[in-house]
Amino acid sequence: MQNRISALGTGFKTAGELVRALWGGPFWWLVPAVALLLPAALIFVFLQAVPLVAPFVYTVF
Amino acid sequence: MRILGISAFHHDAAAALVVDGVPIAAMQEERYTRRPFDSSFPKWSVRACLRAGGLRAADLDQVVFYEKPLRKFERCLATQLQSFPRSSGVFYKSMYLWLGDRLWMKNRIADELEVDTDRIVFTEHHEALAANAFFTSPFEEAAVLIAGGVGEWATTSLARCSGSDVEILAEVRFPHSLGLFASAVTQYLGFEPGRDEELVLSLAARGQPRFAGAFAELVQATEDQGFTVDQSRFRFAFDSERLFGQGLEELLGPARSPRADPTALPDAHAADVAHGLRAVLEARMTALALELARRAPSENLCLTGDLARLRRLNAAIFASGAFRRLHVPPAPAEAGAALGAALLVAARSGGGRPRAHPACALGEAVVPASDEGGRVLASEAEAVPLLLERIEAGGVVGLARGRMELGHHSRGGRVLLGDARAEATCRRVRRIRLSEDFAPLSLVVPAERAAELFELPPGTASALATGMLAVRAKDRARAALSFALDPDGTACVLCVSAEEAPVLHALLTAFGQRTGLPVLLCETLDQRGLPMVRTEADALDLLRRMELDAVLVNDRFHARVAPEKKTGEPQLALAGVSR
Repeated sequence: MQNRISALGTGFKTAGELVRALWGGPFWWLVPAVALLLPAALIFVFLQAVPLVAPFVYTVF
Repeated sequence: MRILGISAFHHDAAAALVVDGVPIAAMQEERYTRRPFDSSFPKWSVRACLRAGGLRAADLDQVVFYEKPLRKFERCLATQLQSFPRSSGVFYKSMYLWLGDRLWMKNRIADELEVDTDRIVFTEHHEALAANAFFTSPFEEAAVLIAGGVGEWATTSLARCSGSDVEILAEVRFPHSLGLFASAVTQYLGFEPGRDEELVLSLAARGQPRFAGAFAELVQATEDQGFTVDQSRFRFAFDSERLFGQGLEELLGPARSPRADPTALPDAHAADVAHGLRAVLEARMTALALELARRAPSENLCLTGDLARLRRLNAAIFASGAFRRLHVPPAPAEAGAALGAALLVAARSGGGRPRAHPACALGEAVVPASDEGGRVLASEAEAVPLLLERIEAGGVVGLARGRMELGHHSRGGRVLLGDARAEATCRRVRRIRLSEDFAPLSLVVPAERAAELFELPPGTASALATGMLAVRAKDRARAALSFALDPDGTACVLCVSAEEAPVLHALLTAFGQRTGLPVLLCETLDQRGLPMVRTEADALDLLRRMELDAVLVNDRFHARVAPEKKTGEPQLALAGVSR
């Protein structure tokens, strides 16, 4: 469980860095697209860290 | 400070270990997985590097990835949306890859290596490439020209390096990329992009400047000596599979089908297109070198990036005369970037200028075969007459000694050797490597005698020692080596010293004493579609299957002998030399 929370925490951190970098640069207009895509991606990261669900991630998506 | 550099997910994944500013190991993943240009996460290379350093992953102070995934994702998403609807077919696949894996590189590295995420850092792709070039050079300061496909956004950069500093001065940004442009034209000509660009540049020597106008239209110079590539005729901005579009075929004619006939010389049309490509690459890269000399005045030039693998292009750039000395690292693309990233972090950690040996022979030694055969030689000197005898008889021999080298061209550690004067031997070497009949061949000469045979531009000793430069043969050599040289009389030449490659140097010297020409064909000990040999078993496999006559693996000599005929079919077997 510790690993899953840690992976998700790093994932949120990466997502935050991405949104901040986009918002501050010339590609700010990508932020809405990223905001739509990232939640799905974070669920993906979380599910991959769960050993029982990981083999079915690609089926789920 | 213990730093592990990693490059992956483009091509040539690799890992490199630097301890206190000294490179300990650098390995390419393809040598372990036997998948050429393997781009997967380099877990085997990482393990081998840690083993070489006597470390565990937990002992590492920093792990550095050679590019910034978030900036690369930004570029991919922006260009895919800008190219919509043309990119609609590949958007889903690309986003699936990015959102499912690549974006979370920190998690991936932490999982693979079991290290804390706070020890994982990222460098800019072109900074890692510049560091690889500069820190493997003999220079204290240099101007660096980086040109390749694409990293995050930059496709071409001008940089200045001094001491432990690497400073990017200017860049050309995606989608305007000479590396991707060259790959697209290579694919249009039916060759494999990312691998056969050098073959295409060699083909150019057979062509005429029929498409000069068309290529000038495709790549246009800008006021600041940069360039733009006409995107309406290419797809590489959003599609990594098919790089050129219908527009290119409208301009240059129908594309040649992939490897239509590998043994046949491509027609005049293909040679003319190759000529156009070479001319435009030389013109744009020379202009960039002159601009670099203006922005970063220096006598020393380092070339790096995917385009620096093109040894004929390197020669043309240096011929611009803007610099007095040249260095090209032996692994100028992604594999070298793993080492460059680690060296850069070491330099920025305050340890002063790191210095790597230019040859980058930092891999494992040849792994011995479990089933020992062949003959163990008492000394290196004993190997020379055995190899010489077979070469003089028109044979082709292999040499696998010392630590593995980074990059796709061996600097003497894993080579095929033969008599460059003989047409039949040239043909055999091409057959062994399953390469085209017109494929260019490389040569090796003792460094101290190279000037007798080739026109060596002053200041190129470092580039010649890494075998990363094409030079013109002098008249005497040109007549004798006509089957090994390009039609324009040039060849890629590796200069070896007695200190770096004692057996190879002694063999060349002995061959020179017998023939008056101390030069041999020298191709990497591999076969098309497979990476350079790593183990003795790999070398013996080549000896069994291909037309090799003998192979020297460390101090063990294996020769190919024909057994007594039992049936009508001739058979070959391996045996140690009995005499």
